[in-house]
Amino acid sequence: MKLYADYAPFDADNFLTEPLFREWVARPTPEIDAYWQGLLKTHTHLRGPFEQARLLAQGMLSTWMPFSETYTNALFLKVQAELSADQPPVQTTRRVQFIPKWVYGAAASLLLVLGLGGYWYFFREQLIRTGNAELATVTLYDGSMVTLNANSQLRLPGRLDWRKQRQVWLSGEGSFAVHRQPNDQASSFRKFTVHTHRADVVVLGTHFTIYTRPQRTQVLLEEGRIALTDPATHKTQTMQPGQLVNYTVEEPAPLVTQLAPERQRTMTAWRENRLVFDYASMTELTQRFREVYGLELVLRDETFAGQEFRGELPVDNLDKALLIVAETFGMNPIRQGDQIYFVPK
Amino acid sequence: MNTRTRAEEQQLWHEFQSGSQHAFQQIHQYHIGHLLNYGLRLNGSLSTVEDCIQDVFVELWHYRQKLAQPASVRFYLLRALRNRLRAQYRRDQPFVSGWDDDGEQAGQNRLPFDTEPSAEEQLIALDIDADRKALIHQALQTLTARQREIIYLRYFNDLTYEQICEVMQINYQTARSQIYTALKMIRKNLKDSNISSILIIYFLF
Repeated sequence: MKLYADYAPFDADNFLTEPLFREWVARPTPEIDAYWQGLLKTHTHLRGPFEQARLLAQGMLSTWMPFSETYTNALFLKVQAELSADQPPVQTTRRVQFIPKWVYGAAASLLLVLGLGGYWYFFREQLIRTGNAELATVTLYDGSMVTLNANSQLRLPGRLDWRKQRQVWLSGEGSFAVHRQPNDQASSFRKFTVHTHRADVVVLGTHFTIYTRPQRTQVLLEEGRIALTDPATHKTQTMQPGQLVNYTVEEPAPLVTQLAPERQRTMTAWRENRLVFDYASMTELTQRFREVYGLELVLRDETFAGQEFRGELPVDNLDKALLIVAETFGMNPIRQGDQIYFVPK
Repeated sequence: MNTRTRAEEQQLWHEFQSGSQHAFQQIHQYHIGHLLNYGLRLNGSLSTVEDCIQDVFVELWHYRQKLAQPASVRFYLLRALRNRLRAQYRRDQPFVSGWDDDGEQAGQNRLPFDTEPSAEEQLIALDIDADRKALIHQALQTLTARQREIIYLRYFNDLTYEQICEVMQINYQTARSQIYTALKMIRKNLKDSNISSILIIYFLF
């Protein structure tokens, strides 16, 4: 990188042709933000030229039209077609050769194997499921990472479909770290879509967590920017970091709230194998238990009436989790099938 | 923007001249997006632009052995495309003047050099919100078509002012003064809207 002093004589045109500046306008990052902020603080006379250049550069980039590789390849084929139409036809000679029969057989079975392998490699969809008290981390074709909480599933398209569109289907809870992937055009990115039953989440590269169980769908954006689309109404809204969007069965419209960092932890800590309860009601506790461990807590005893639970449970260790809950209320857990009863000590 | 070095570009050009289809395809692939974007800003009809670009490449292949290595392939292609589009325009509207005779002071430059607003996802990638988008749009609107074209050629294609003049068939002095007025207008615009101070503060802290 240049020294700040090197920029002293810069005008807007110099900024427009400066590689670092261009790269940053096309793909802003916090580090380079800070670098320019430093420059503008120390060299206040550059603020005008800088802002003009940024405005123009953004204007240029935002009006750039990306064209898909499929489309441009088709254009090239047309060029080739016109060129070959101009040329005189090439004379072909026929050759007859004897090929033993077994070669056909071998070739056919080779084709079959290749075909199956190819099918397996290119077309097969994948379904990743987690059971009770189980976490899984999946690396997608493009290097993006998805962490799944217990009792969740993620459907992945085959490689070929993925190449057309980056999209996955989620039910349960998933936390995403999506890689930005450039399009074949320099100034745009391939979008990445997560489909849930209440919302389609469209992103370009960012960190976010989705909770989508039958009663409720929640999306928490930790970093970057994303757009949410309602599959029914096709209404789109964009989210800012720290925002939580909440869809419930009762409410037709989603509720947007800003979450303080410490509140975000209750939604994301499961990634670190922690189930966090922050003064959770007994209903919330039983529901969460059902979702993650697949067990029904029977809290009929008066001890539980009007109580709230605060604490952290390990996602992958049911016995320990049960013990912590029981200890908190001073009871003994008894398991019967999928139900847990509590009796006084 | 330019991810290829000069040496690589020269190597590719040599392969192309000796008849490599593969090199030809790579050259096509590398420049096609820029040619389409440039062409569409000059002429709104995609099919016309496609046809002209096709002619440019067909011609490039036919004359490849007679061509000297251009200083910049991009420059060569852009110039060829612009000439074709102008010829096309003349054919379509033989009695309308405009395009590139210096009729701009009359405010009747027929060449629109216009742009569509871009897709929402792209704005997200560029970190542009609604206010910013309006400001950008306003800034671009205060420029003349020719000023937009110069900035486009400079920003996306790394052309020097000499090359820009040759592509657009204007003289050097005109190009420089066009840019100068363009920047002055934007500066004034930013001052007037008074948003500049807000934006800079927002950006600084």
